[in-house]
Amino acid sequence: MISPTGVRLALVGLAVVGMTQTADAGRTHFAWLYGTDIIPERGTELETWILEENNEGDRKVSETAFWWGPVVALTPHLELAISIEAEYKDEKDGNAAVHFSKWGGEVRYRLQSPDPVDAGPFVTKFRAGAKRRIEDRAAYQLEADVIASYEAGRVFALVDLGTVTERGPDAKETQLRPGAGISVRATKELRFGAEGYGELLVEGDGTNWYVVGPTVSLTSGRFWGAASYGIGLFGMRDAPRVTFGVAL
Amino acid sequence: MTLALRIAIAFALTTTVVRADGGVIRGTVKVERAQGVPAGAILVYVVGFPEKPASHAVVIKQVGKKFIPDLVAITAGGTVTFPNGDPFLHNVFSQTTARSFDLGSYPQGETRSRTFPRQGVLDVYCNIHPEMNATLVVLPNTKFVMADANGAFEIKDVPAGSWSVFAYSRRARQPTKLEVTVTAGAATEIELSLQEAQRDFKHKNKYGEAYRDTTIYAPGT
Repeated sequence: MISPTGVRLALVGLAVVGMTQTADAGRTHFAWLYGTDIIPERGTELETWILEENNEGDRKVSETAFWWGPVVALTPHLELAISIEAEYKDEKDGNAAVHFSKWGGEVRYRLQSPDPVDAGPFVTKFRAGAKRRIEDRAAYQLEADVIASYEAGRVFALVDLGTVTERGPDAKETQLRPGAGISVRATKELRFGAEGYGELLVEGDGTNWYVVGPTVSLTSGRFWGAASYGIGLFGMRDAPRVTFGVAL
Repeated sequence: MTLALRIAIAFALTTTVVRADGGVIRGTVKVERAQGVPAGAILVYVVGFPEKPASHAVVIKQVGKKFIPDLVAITAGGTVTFPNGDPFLHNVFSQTTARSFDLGSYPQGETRSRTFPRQGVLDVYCNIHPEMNATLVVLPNTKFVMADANGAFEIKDVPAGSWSVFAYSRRARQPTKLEVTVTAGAATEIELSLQEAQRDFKHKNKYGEAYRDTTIYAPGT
C-alpha cells in the first residue's frame, strides 16, 4: 500500500515554496469583534457569546449576557443568524435578575470571495441586525457593522466599526461601538492577540466605556472559539467575553 | 538558507538559460502494476523554469459521485472550476497545506472555482460523498502532458536547457525523475519507468472525522 505522505515527500520537483497556510484558527479571531470570515455555502453553525461587563460607570453596574443562535450560509457571501439573548443585570437597586432580553435576526455579507487566497489580504464584511425587546414589546434595536481585515503572513489585523440604536416608548439610545484587534497565528489551530472594544454614547442615557485586552482563539474540528479579557480604560472595570461556534 | 530561497535561486538560475527556440521531449513511461491495480492517468511534467498559466480554467466535473478526471495538472496561478453534474448536492474541499479550500455545497448545474497560486500536490474530496477523491498537481509551468494508453508522451516547446522530467500517477509508489538536456530545435528521447501499487484513498471529512456510515439499516440484520 502506498503512503500518500511518502508520495508527497518524493515529489521533490514540487517542493513547497514557502507556502502559507490558508486554514485559520477560529472563524473569528476575536471575542468582542466580528470577523470577516464566512461559513462555507449551505453550512450551518451554532454560535454562542457569553460576556461580562463589570462595574460599569459610577453606579458600578454589572451584567452577564448570553447570545445564542444558528448561523446559516445562504450563499457563498451571505450569512443569516437568528438569535435569542438573555442577560443578568445588577444595577445595585435590589432588582438584579436573569431574563431573556431580545430576539432577532441579522445578516452578514462578505464582499470578497469566501476563499482567503482568492479574496486577497484585504477583506470587508457588512452586518445588519434587528432585534426585538422581549419585555418591552414596543421597543426594538437596530445594529450595523462595517468590518475590514488585513492578513499578512501570520498576522491578522481587523477593524470593526459598529453602531446600535434602540427605539421604544421608554428607550432612545444610540451608541457607536468601535473596535480593533490584531492576532498572530501560533500554530495552525491557535492564535494569540489583543483587541479593543467599547461603547460610546451618541444619544441617550448611559455610560461611555472602552476596554483593551489579550485574546486567544482556537479551532479544533467543528469547533472554533475566541476569548478575551478586556481591561477597562474608562467607564468599566473589566469585560471578559467568550465567543464560540460549532459547525453542524 | 531556507528551502524557499534555495528554490527561488534555482528558478532564477534556470530562467537565465532559457532560449526562445524550444525543443521537444518525447518518450514512453513504462508502468509496472501490481496485480489488480487499475490503469490510471499518467502525468509527465518538466520542472526547472516558471511560466504563466493558461488563460482558460481547467475543469474537474462531479458526475456519478466521481471527480472526472481524477488526476489534473495546472500551472501555478491557474484556475480550476468544479461543476456539479449530479442531481444532488456536492461539496469540494481540500485540506492540503499547500492550498486548503472549501467550496461549500451546491446543486446540479452550478459551478464554483478556485485559483491555485502556488505549486503543490492537493488531495481533493467531497465532504458529502466519501468515495469522491481527486489529485490536483500545481506545476511551475505549462510543460506537462498526460501519457496515452501506451505510455507515450510528447512535450513540445520546452526551452533549451537542463531540466528535470517527472512521471507521476495516483497509484505510483514514487514519482520517477530523470534529468534531461533539451536542445533548441531538436527532440530528446527518454524513457521513464513507474511502479504502481494498490492505494487506499480513504480519508476523513473536512472536520477531521470519519464519514458517517451511510449503509442503510436492514431489519433483522
